Amino acid sequence: MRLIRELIEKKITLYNEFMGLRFYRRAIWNFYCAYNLSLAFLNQKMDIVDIKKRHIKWVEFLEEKDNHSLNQIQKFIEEDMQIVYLALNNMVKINENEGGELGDLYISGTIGMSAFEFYQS
Amino acid sequence: MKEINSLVMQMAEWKFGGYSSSYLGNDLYFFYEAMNLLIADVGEEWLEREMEKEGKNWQEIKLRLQKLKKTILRVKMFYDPIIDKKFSKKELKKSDVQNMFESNFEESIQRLPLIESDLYETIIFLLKKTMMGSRHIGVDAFRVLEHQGMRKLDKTSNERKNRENII
Repeated sequence: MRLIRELIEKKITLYNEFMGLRFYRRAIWNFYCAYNLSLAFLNQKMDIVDIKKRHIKWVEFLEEKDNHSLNQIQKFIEEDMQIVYLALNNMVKINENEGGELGDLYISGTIGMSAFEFYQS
Repeated sequence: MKEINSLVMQMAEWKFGGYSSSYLGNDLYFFYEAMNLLIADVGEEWLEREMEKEGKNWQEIKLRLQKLKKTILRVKMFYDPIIDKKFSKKELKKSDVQNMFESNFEESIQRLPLIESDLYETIIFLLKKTMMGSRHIGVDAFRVLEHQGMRKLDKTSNERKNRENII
């Protein structure tokens, strides 16, 4: 779980960085990597029609590099960002319920407890 | 949770580091390699059995992945010389070879799907079912591509080091 979260977070930070630097191709690609990871994590599938819409705009942008297709892709990104947030929120919730993974001793409501109390709870 | 050999986990970590610090198809190459490493350790039979429990057919996915692999390798073939600047010259005009590499690279990216399900689902499935999922990618793993190399060699001589220590 931790590794998936790290991968998504890294891709999203790269997306932000490249958007700021106006490397749009790399930014869009990185965002959709994070999106793919989140979709797979949530066990969801996208409609073929929606996939095609995005792919057509992507190819259009690669060929012409115009503002029109970029704006449309950015609209898609705004829609798809919700899935990424959902995946990240789910991971945080699962981590809290499970009490973390190896080496992480955080369980909600156990801060300040001694070690022997921790095992009894 | 299926256990994985620690050496394989370490190697896979580097691949994931490469995946997350790269882009435009080159990242998928590292992702594919990480998947291959994990499958080699876990075994295809185990993967097939586990996937069947969740209603997925590994053999079908495998065929689709092999098609994807061809495109990924094609992208990688053109990506490397562009990044290494093997054919670029300091002159203002671009050389024909460089133009050829760039146009072929752009053409092959278009063939890569922006939203890919098979590769990602297989990797996430493996990460959820094995100990690999709880690993953490070290900072060094990200540095492989970002800084072109694991770490810089310390070129200062021992004599100089000793001298500095005395001072």
